[in-house]
Amino acid sequence: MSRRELKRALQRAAPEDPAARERALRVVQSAYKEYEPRARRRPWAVLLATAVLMAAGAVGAAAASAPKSDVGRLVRDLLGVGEPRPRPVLVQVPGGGRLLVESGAGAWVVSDSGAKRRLGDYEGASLSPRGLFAVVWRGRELMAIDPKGRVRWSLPRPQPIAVARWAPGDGFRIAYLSGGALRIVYGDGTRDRRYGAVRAEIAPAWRPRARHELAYVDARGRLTVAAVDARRRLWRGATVGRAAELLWSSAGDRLLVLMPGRLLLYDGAGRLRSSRALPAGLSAQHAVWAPRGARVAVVRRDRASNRSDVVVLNAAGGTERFLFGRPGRFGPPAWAPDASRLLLPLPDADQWLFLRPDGSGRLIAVSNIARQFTPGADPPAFPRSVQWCCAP
Amino acid sequence: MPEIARREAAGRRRPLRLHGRLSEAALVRAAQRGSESAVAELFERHWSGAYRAAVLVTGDRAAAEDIAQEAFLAALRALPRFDLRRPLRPWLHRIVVNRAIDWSRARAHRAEVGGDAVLDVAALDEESSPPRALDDDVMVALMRLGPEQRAVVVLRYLLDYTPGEIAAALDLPRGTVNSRLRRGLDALGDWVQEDLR
Repeated sequence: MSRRELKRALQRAAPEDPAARERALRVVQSAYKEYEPRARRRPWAVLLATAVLMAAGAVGAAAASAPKSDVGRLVRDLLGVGEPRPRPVLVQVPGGGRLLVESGAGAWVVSDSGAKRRLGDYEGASLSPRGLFAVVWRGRELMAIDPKGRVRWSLPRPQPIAVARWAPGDGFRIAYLSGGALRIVYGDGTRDRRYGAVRAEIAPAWRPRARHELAYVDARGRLTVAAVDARRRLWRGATVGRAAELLWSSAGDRLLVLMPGRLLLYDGAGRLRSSRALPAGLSAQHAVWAPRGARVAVVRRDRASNRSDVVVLNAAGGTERFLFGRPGRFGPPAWAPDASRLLLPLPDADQWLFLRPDGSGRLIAVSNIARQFTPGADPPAFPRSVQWCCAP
Repeated sequence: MPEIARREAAGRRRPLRLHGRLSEAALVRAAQRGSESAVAELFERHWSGAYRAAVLVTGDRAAAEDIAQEAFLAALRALPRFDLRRPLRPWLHRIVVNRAIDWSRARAHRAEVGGDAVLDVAALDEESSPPRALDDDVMVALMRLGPEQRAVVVLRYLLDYTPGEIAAALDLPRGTVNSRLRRGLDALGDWVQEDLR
């Protein structure tokens, strides 16, 4: 074989990936927009651009930097931390606030004292911005209820409701998916209308601190952000057909697209800031932004070893903090309203774990969660999700 | 004088256009002055080599994409102070290959894959080409080598660097580069004939 033939063989062994090229080009072009041309260069601007570039790679870089996680995991394992003695029942919510729990027996509200109220036999629920109401759904019916479970309005639909999300801020809009379509209804149950075709399995995400801007994945799998009142598309991102979750930061300045093996981070203008694969073997299961700041908690799972961990990434500083890891699956975590704690569901252990996101303090574990939220069921089912809301 | 240094010195007299194309130095200068098209052209010229090199060293497409992408972002960060007398290509490839080696070492340390296993990572989006197994004989043979040896083979036979340039890029003695090249060619076995050894 000649050298030329060997070169061709190497090229065949590593063929071009047009999609990878396109993604990388978008990231590079986006990063270059921050570049201050040399002729007009100002030192502070270059420093700022550099900081932005470094921040751009932060989430993915942190997610992909496994050694830190390993060190943290090793320390926790060696010290025996992470397997606290669980409390048999939730007698109060550590740190205060209320929980909205979606379980196999319907939706529940848990007050800060631990008192539980079953709102009804609903398939899902989403709190209004101040927690004064919840939008719930069951079959083909969308409803708004108050914390005592009283129905304020009801909206029947010909197709089953898949998911609903109450807009933050003024709370005047609710987005929901039904029959493969994104629909918008006013917070008082009026002016229900179809917006467009979407991927039914991916929940839309309202952008905080913006007037009714919504991120969703359209029917062709394209990430889209639109101003729904004006019915105007603001920007369109990558095709993310396998996206698991769309997550706006609390300030509305970053949109995280969580896919099983990759994290995409966009800024508010739709520029792709980071596209990072997780380390081989790990997949991202859930993520949730802190109620303030640039921290995001990410649950990852190693399928081969059936081990999960949760890390807190700082999208601004690029740091990663390992919080907890153990065999089994983790549910979607929830931040306390004041960001002082993280609730981590452990379905395999039938526990909720309350962690300090800075790694300090004692872990609090509460066991028998499934039985507490599906009383009388055989077998009891672990809750699907938890939202942690504002203090009363 | 090392060959890479001689080439760099020669680069000081590089013309602005070669065969009707803007020279690399001209493109870098344009990029420094804010030309998005110059950045796009530099990306087009160098993405393929960077990505392929990273794939061949890591054996992992997703990691390769990240590594090549990060190398370009590093180039952007260095753009304001980039010395136009230096060629961009070896600088970029040096970053790519060294990061690919680091990634491969880290993966081996984590023991996420065993033995000769070669990972295949699904493409990100539905419109991209379907995932392909990296089961080419050449790739399998490469994966039997350590990442440092793979890097030397890739730099020599994919990216056409001389042993002297590889030694400079990887900060290795030239004799080490030559011995790794010999071992690499041995590992490639039937794929290469004596005229390359």
